[in-house]
Amino acid sequence: MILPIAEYTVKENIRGKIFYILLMFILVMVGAALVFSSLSPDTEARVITDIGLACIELFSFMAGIFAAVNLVLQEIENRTIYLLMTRPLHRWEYILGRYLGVLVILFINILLMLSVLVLLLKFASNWQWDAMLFWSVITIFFKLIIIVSVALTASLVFTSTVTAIAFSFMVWIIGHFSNELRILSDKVTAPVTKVFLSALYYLVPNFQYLNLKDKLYIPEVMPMHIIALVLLYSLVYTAIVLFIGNLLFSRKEF
Amino acid sequence: MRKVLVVLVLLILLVALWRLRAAIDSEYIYPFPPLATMHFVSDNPYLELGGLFLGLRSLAADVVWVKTLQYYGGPTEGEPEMPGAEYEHDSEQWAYQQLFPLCERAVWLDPYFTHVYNIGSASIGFVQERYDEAVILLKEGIVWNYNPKDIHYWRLNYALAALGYDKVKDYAHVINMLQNVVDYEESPMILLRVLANTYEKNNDYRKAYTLWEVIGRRFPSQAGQVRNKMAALAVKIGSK
Amino acid sequence: MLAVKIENVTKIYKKRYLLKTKQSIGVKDLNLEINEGETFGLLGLNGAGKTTTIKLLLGLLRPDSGNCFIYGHKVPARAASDLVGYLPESPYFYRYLTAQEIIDFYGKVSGVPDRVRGEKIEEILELVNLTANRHKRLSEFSKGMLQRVGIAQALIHDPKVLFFDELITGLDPVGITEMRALILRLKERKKTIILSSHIISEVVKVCDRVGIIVEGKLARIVNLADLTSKGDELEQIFLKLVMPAEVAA
Repeated sequence: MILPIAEYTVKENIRGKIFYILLMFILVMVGAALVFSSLSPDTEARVITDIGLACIELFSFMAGIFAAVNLVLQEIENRTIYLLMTRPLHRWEYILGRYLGVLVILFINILLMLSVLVLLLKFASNWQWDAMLFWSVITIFFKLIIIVSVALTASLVFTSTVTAIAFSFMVWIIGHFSNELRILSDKVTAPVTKVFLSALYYLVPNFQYLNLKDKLYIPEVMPMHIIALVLLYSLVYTAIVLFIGNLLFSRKEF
Repeated sequence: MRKVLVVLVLLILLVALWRLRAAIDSEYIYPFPPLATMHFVSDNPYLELGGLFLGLRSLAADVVWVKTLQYYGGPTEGEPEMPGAEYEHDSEQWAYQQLFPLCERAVWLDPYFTHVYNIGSASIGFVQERYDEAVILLKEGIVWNYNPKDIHYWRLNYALAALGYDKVKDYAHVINMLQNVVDYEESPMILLRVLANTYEKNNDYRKAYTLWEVIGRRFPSQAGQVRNKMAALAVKIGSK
Repeated sequence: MLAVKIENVTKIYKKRYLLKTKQSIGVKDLNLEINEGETFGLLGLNGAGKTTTIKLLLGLLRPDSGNCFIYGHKVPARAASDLVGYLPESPYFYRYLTAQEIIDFYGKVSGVPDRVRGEKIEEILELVNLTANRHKRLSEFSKGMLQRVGIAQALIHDPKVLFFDELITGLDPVGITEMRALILRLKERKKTIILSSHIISEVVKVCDRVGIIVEGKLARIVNLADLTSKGDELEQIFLKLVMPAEVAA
């Protein structure tokens, strides 16, 4: 039952405007990469890679959370949800199907953007294939796995798209600032602040773990067994968030 | 019954999450200088903020580096400055004084950006002859990129040694050290130029001439300047 | 056999504000039994509780007290969902899908097996007269056509009980006639149909019994077979119930 839900979520997005926006982003990415790399001889490959990965991540992040917060709220607003909630369909199947549908769309988008990036690197620099590029894209996708679940659950908590988007942005930013939070909480002495900062550190997902794209040039920074742990961590975090989302949704009245 | 189950599942997941995080944290080291070490005042802090809060340090470092290159005359040195350039160049003997702070900004964002140490220290040290700043920059690079198995690490050390010799005008040793630094395919132009100029200072006109030939081949955009240099050297070789 | 049973159901809407909670009655102490094959009309003014009753029976709302049953299955239950088809008031559909795709989709989520779904879709499209327009996207559909899609999606899994909320509201005379014909066809197929409306003349034409809801309470059940001049009499009864003082005067 999850499959048809995921399927129409994919159709919904493909037939919507998302691919036009994607096209625009690819143009921005190519343009920025070419301009900037021409301004920095000797480091073209690095600049193109950095711009490309940043574009992939930011675009997927924005497309992901906008899609996620609307998944359920828009169906409530359009009242299309009535027709699904009266079917012999578990509510968790609906939530999971919607969620997976967005991930499929994001995965397709990322693949498209990555292939453009690889072409760009091939033609505009003396770049050679590097497994780290692959891993940094994988970790970008895992960031999205987390943040899309957060955005979806936030939309169910706040029942407002704007609030849910703002909340997801906050989580994204604090998650990238995570290690700074830890350093800060070690430094401050006021107990209340200390507790607050470390609570934030443990509650918000640490996106720096998954920020391999920023660590491409650091040798041996993330050995494989840590990457494996980090990916597992992301999945458990997502499971908890979706579990809470499902609890909320199972109690919802329409 | 169902409620107990829900709480139990949630609890198990939370403990798993906590254990995983502890396991990761025990091995994972945040590989960047933290916010508290930001020792300069940035005129465009949005780059630093974007780097910190969006996880885009590497890209922010690239942007600062491109700004640095533009400030220092862009990729083709000697071309007229672009109108409305962001930085004012000072008088002759204290030229490009923003060069060092710009490099520091770039490597604070990404201390593994070895190009900045190489090109930055060469420009500040050999060209502008502000050895103190160049040494600080190189030493930072050596600390952050400590890895005796990696040739990049040693190039930074050789560059540091070369700077020391250059300061006391011991050009034979400078050449010795710099040859190690430039000895790879993608060696940046500025290092090759520094080496060529050092050959000249060491009265090694033939070697200087040959190196300029190489530079001309590898960087066709420099053809004009390379021709002038080679003509001047040919005269010197002839008169010797 | 009882198709639908409502037992002492009360639903109170609570709107939470920052400090206080505002309450309003949805339905109160509702009891109702509807037999298999019956066409039952829920008649009432806007906001009387017709839609609330239907939503409670579908499990979209939870009662504060009391229970609802569909063929003996206590709502909400998967077994109950299998047996019901629902068309909400002025429904929205995914406009990016074609008529065939949307019926196929609802067939899938209703658990209609792959091997019979194709056949079933053909049959339903034929029934609601959409075969010619099956590959058009819904964004190109007229209101009447959309309403037919709505009927089709409610029928795809061959449910025994059908809920139609304000079926004809907003339709033109042709559309209304089409809908009436459809309901009569479904009646022939022995479906139990519950429809809500505030248009007495329409209810009279298709229903067997009518429940009149006033301010959340079931005020009276009228068996239309008992009335001689159905329309006028029902109107009198209805008006007496909703504004007793004026009619009495």
